[in-house]
Amino acid sequence: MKLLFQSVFLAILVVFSPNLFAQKSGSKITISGYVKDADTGEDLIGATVKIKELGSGAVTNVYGFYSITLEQGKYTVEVSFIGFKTQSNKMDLKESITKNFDLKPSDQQLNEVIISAKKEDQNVTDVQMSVEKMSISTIKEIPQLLGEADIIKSIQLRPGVTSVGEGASGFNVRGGNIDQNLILLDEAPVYNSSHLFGFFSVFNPDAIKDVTLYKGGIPSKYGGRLSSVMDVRQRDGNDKEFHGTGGVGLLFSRLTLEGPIKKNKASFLVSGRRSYADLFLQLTDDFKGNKAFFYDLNAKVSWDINAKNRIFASGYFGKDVFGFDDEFNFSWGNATGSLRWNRLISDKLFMNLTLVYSNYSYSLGVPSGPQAFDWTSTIINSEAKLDFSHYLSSKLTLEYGGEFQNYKFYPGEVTGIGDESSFSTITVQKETAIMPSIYIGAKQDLSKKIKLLYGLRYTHYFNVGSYNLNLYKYGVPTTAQDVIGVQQYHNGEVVAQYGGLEPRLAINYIVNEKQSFKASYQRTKQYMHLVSNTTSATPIDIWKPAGYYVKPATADQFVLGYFRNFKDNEYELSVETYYKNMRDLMDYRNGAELLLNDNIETELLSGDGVSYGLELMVSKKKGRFTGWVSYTLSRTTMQVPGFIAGDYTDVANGINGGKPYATNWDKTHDLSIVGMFTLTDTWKLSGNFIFMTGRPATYPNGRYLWDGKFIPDYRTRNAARIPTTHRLDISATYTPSRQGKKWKSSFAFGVYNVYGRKNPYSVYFQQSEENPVLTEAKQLSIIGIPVPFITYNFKF
Amino acid sequence: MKLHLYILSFLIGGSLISCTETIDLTLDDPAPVLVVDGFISNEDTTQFVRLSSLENYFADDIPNFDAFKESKVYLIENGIVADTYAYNPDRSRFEILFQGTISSTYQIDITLPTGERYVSSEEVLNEIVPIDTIWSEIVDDPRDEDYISILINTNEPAGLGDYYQWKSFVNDAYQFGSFDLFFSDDRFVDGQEVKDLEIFSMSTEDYENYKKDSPTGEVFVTIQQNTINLRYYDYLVLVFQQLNQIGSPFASPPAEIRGNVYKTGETEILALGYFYTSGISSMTVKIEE
Repeated sequence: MKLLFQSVFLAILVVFSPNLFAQKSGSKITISGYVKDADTGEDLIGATVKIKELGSGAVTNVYGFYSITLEQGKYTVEVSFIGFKTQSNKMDLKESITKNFDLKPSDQQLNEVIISAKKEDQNVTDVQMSVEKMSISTIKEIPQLLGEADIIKSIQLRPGVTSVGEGASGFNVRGGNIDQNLILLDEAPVYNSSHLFGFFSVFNPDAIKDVTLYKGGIPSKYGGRLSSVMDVRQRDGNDKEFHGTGGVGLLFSRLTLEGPIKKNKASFLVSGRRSYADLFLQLTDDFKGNKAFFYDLNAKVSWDINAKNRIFASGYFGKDVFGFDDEFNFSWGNATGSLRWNRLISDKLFMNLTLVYSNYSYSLGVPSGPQAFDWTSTIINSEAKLDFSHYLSSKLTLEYGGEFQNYKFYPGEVTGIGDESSFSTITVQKETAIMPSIYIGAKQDLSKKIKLLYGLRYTHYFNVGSYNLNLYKYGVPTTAQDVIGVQQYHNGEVVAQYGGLEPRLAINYIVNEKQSFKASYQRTKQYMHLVSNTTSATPIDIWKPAGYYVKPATADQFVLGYFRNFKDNEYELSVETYYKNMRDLMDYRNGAELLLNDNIETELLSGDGVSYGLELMVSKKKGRFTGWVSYTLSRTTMQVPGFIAGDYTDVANGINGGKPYATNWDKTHDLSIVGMFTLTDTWKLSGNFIFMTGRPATYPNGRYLWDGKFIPDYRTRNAARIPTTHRLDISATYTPSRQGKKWKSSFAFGVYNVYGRKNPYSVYFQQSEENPVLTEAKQLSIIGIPVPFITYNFKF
Repeated sequence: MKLHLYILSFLIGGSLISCTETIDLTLDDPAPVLVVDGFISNEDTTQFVRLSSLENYFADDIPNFDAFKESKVYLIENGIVADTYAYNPDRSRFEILFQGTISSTYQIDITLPTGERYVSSEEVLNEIVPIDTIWSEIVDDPRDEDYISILINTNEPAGLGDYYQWKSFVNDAYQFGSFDLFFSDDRFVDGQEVKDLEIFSMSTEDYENYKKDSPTGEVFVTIQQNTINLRYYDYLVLVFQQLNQIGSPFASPPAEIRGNVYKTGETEILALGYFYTSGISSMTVKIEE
């Protein structure tokens, strides 16, 4: 505990001492403030505030704040943002001032695209590399299954981001497993990003303002996962007037309401979705009594208390519910809440205090009868975070702060229900972890040609009691039979602790305004693993925190990139190549039993992974036709040596005899082509085509007859590959030219999987149903036919 | 008790909109590996073991058991040779008339015509746990056809670490389909009276067919409650996973299934299959209409 207090004290000391970095200014003055949407009062994240005469400027942070320090003088301040009219302001800056800019959205959809493209050469000039940013309007244009805009499916069309198959839960970034992505919704971690086992993501695009995915060069303020950070920000709500947005689709409908609580001061946003297939199922005899639906609700309240203080409270609650009469029921869902306080300590020092709560739980069971039981599992995470953005000069910005996280893992409890039930109560013991972290990062322009982004993060991780630790005969968790005793840890006593520095560095060498070379290095550490032994993660997978036997994972990633813009920034090109080395990853023994297992450590094996690849992207940003082509060539392998000990010692427990094998998500070639065409003011067309190598699979070495059954003999893991995946999706959006004064609507229709390709999800092997002497190979396709869709969208 | 099955049926249900088709693949012939299929129980009866070899996954016939008929096969009880198996060419298997003793350990010792010798690991024959009651019921399934269910009651002895396999026989014919594999540990029911445990079911159509084939026109179902060892239980978990938890996005990954028969002197070389011990308690019910 002593170490714990030391760490907490250190964190507090650093985060409460912003004056350490304060600086006296001479003839220099500071212009600072917020950039907002003039119509809605929504903060604009990533808007550019440029001092034309200096050719330099600032980009607004995630709260829309900017601060620029410069010499006194007359300047032209140009403020621009995608989809908004650029504002040019002539200003005579004699003293430090606060200046908020309200940008007008470009009304005409046709113009929107053209104006958006005017900005900018950020691809070349920004030091941040390996980042994918997609506007919600682009995400809404990309055709998706049943016409439902989906943030996570859209981001998979970018280089370096894939999934194990159609409709699979989560996504894989640069060779990382799905648990290596930190998914943040208004800074609260989301543990399961999927509805309906992975077909749809939990993010309602109507409630979302901004999505940023960091694949590399991750800023030091983020930590806790190896491969990526997906930072999703909810909209604040319109603080000028009341509005609604919604849509009616084939699978679900959505409605968002927003408006001022106090004009220009406080606003609210409430957004909900619910699927309704089950309501129709009730009408049929076969499905009567069955439940199958999901819903989610986003809510946010924002309040500008005064020029210096703002408060945001936001929450998300979503659930998937399934049930078959009174025979079986199953539900899962996330709940997150965050409370944030923005304070301008000075015109150069921006503070954000966040309190976060996040909960993921599932429950399944049989409600009545002798087999009645209820099974629940939960992970609860609460944290406090303090972040400072310190705009020291136009050339140097510091970001520093700390966070304190608390986790409670309840892996599972099963209880019998009613007097009739044969079930005893089984509880897999709770695990508790606390994680104080501190970080500092700097964004520095060394010269006009060289820009740096560097930082350091330190996390100390404690797995604390109360906990009963199994002790094993050979000191390593071999089998449940090798347990020789139990060591008891009392409440708050440290069971295991780990820590480590995570350096981050990125450099941009700007050759000229059209091209640049970038490089980055990052070390990331992950202190919890998702325990999943199926091809696609399921909602009943649990998170296992690092502990006495399970080490945290560490990754080092190196990236080199070349960035170039053509034709007055109409085209952007990026080429990145990365190498990632991952240590202490988890894989599973053959036949691992992961659920309700008191000795789960005996099912886990630890190994190392390597991923490397080349990512290429060309995008067209301007004109009536926009879109991109992205291509990734990559390789990801793992190596799990196992250990030789215990009663099963005659067997070396490693996977593939300790030799490297391709991971499930290793896809050699991955190509996406996305195009959007504004035909007229009323018609927009879009389409995307994907092509990727089939994922690795294990084919049988042979078969044998045992106990009357033909049993496949599998030897080498993932030595084969399933056939290639390719698919074309198209959609058209019709916005009638005659619109009501208030009520505006549009129709989107299209086809997913236009040519009905039966893309393989998996190839598996089984005894033939027709002739039991034969065994056969079967291919599973999740969606093997063209799926048409129509969606009606409205605004008022 | 049946948690696995519930979760499985549910997760497969999640992929209702999917489609599957048989595809053509060619796989190389594997190197020959010995397969051992047998067990020893407390029943005083003819007990047997079958020897065969691993074959190509797409082979179109049952294995050639006769290829191993010249092998020498011994049953070892508590470390000492207890009996010698004799090959019965009519049933393509090695047989002995033998009754296992509770608490004794058993192994099989095989010498192939090539001189290679294989021995199974020691397995203890566990105390039996009797079935208390057995009965059949006609279940009225609102969403599907009616079916006949065979249920039992039993008392699970106190103390964790008991493992069971249930086998079903319809008019003495062993039901060996992959979904007939039914086994459990005692974690959820330790020391409890286990009631209404459904072990076997058949459609009314199957019942009519059995009735037709039966010389007496009657259908009897025998349920065997086998007490087994943890290692064999783990083996069954893998077999079940590899045969049944397949074909969905939530399938278990293909995995090597390691048995308990080793080549002597080379513990890294395993035969396929398993030689296990089983404490059997059985009870029979006549299905009444």
